[in-house]
Amino acid sequence: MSKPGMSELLRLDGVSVDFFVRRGFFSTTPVRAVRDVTLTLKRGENLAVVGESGSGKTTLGRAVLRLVPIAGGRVLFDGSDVGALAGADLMTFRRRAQLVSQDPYSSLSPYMRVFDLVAEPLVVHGGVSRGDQQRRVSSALESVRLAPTADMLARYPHTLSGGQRQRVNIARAMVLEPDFIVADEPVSMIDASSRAEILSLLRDLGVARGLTMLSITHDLASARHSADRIAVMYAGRVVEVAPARQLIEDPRHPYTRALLAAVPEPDPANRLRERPVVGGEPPSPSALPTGCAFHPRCPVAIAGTCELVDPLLVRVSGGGLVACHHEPAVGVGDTAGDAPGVAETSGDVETSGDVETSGDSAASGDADAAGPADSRSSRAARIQGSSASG
Amino acid sequence: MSLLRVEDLIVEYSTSGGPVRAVDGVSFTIDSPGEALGIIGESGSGKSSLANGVMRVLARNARMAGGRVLLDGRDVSGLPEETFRREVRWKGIAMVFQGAMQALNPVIRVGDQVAERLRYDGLAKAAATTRVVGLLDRVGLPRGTADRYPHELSGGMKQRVMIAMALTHDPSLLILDEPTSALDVSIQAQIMNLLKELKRERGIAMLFITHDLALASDLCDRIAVVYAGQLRELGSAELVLGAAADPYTQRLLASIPRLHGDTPPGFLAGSPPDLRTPPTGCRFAARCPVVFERCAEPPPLTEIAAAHLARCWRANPA
Repeated sequence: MSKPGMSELLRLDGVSVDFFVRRGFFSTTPVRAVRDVTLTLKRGENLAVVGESGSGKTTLGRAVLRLVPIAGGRVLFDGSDVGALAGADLMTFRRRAQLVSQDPYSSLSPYMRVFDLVAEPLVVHGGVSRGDQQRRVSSALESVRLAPTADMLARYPHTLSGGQRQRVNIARAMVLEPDFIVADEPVSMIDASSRAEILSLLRDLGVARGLTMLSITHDLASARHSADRIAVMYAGRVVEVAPARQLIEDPRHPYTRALLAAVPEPDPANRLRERPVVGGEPPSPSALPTGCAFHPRCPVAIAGTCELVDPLLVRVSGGGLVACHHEPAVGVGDTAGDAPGVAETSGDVETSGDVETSGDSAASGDADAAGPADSRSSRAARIQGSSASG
Repeated sequence: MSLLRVEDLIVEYSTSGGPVRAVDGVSFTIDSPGEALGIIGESGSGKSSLANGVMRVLARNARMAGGRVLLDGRDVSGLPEETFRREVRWKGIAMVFQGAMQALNPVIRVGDQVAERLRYDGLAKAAATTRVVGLLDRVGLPRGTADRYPHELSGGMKQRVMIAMALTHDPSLLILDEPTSALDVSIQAQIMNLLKELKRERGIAMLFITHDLALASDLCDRIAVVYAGQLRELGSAELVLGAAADPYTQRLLASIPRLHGDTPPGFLAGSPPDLRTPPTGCRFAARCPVVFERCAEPPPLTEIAAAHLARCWRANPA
């Protein structure tokens, strides 16, 4: 749950990311991996971005950290446009926003000892005396529950277990005392029995240090236990956002429901029944279906609507945000909300976090029905396609 | 007579640090057609070595150092390699290897790759093609898949091709080594449904190797939990998931994040023992929350209740 009164640390406004795919010898063609994502993270909040491979979740995390250029929209970190940062400001951002990568096997140099691995970011950022380095490396290792003994400091990664390596990885991020962390599938390569240890460590660190976290994962069950809110991505777009528990107990988007139905739970009765699945596979970003990208697989697609109009992410009853024609927007202005493609999204920063995605070109022509914000909102409503007031 | 009987299987790797017993005296049976046994273990537990040992496809530095594997009562572990290859591998026992879909030849149409094994056994091209089309259809691939190249297929489709390949010779036992580990959860669910169908409709017995206890419950009638090369617990899915007797199994179950429920997942501190120098007592003792004096002696795998085996002094009624 997001706590009221938290101020905003990170805001994504209609962020899109393109990749360039080679076509023939001389030409490349852009492929949109992330489409128009608007998200807000409050200080101290942990937002999980859940999606399958190709959903754009990792690219989104990299875009936030300015590790890939964005093709549209902007990322605001603590009020400044990340894309416009340069020089000392960029260096400060690079210190304050850290990445914990997925693979603790390939992300640690096999030729460096634990001490040097954890001290490396301090060396890169400079200005830290040797004595301070030792103090900060020790404290970073303690914070990830690795004893900073002489033996541990002198070890090479190959002598560590997967869980220990990932903790070294986290210590590398923590040593710079960041405000914000993107954790990209931090446990997907770790044994099941150790996963919860890493996730609870990240969560405890987040609480103790007021860290804001964007956790990228494909695992809804873990997200329920480690995140405050969950955003579900499909084919480059956010299709549903809600507080973690609510999203799982009351999923509104048919894709969220399909994902939930596919998660196995240890029940011996499972083997006796067929698991409900949606057919097909997620589309390639280079050949997205028209309209709602999920419509070819959707069990409740509405012929004549879903294949034509990409639904906007709107606030629905219950307070979550959903991009589905079955889920009308709520709010004063929702009388026109049942017309496909015409919807409004109200910002609601104070109460439940704010995630909005503006519509794509298929829908943007009809954007005439923006209503005022719902009653709890402290912000004016925003017509889809408009830019943020910041 | 059991369909598959594995008796005291030992698989040893020779390493620069001396021999390592990755599988140290594992015994189990699969009793009837259509039965699925799950082998659950974390990385390094020996579960893949066990599967490779049964299939006799061990790495060059590994060997079967003891035990027997009986298929329909016949000792297939003692057969000369040539006989095993001609009569058992792919015919009696077939396997879907971990990550094998990455090993499809990129320049050969998938239909021809599935047909290769049939052609090798002397089936005429036309007959092999007909059979391959039927197999690809059976595993749920669209018509025309046989003529496509691997890069045109998604991960889920490639894994279906691998399953079709394993079915070319109508095996009675199918070994599946983490068949869904590279797949997204929604595709994983589709593959699990396919395996269920094959089990039910064709009566194929399965040995399902995974690290994921929850996933095993989707397919397996009985579940064996391995740790540090040894079986810790073996019983029906109901018993192992519902009345786990071994502390390791219990912790493994508790580490699964539950979708519906607010109890946060637990975890096991520490890591498995180094098998170059395995502990003399219980191999789980160093991480066990309920360890006591007796654990200095190695606990035997005992029948603690009807058809429920566990290797733990606490669970041992004697």
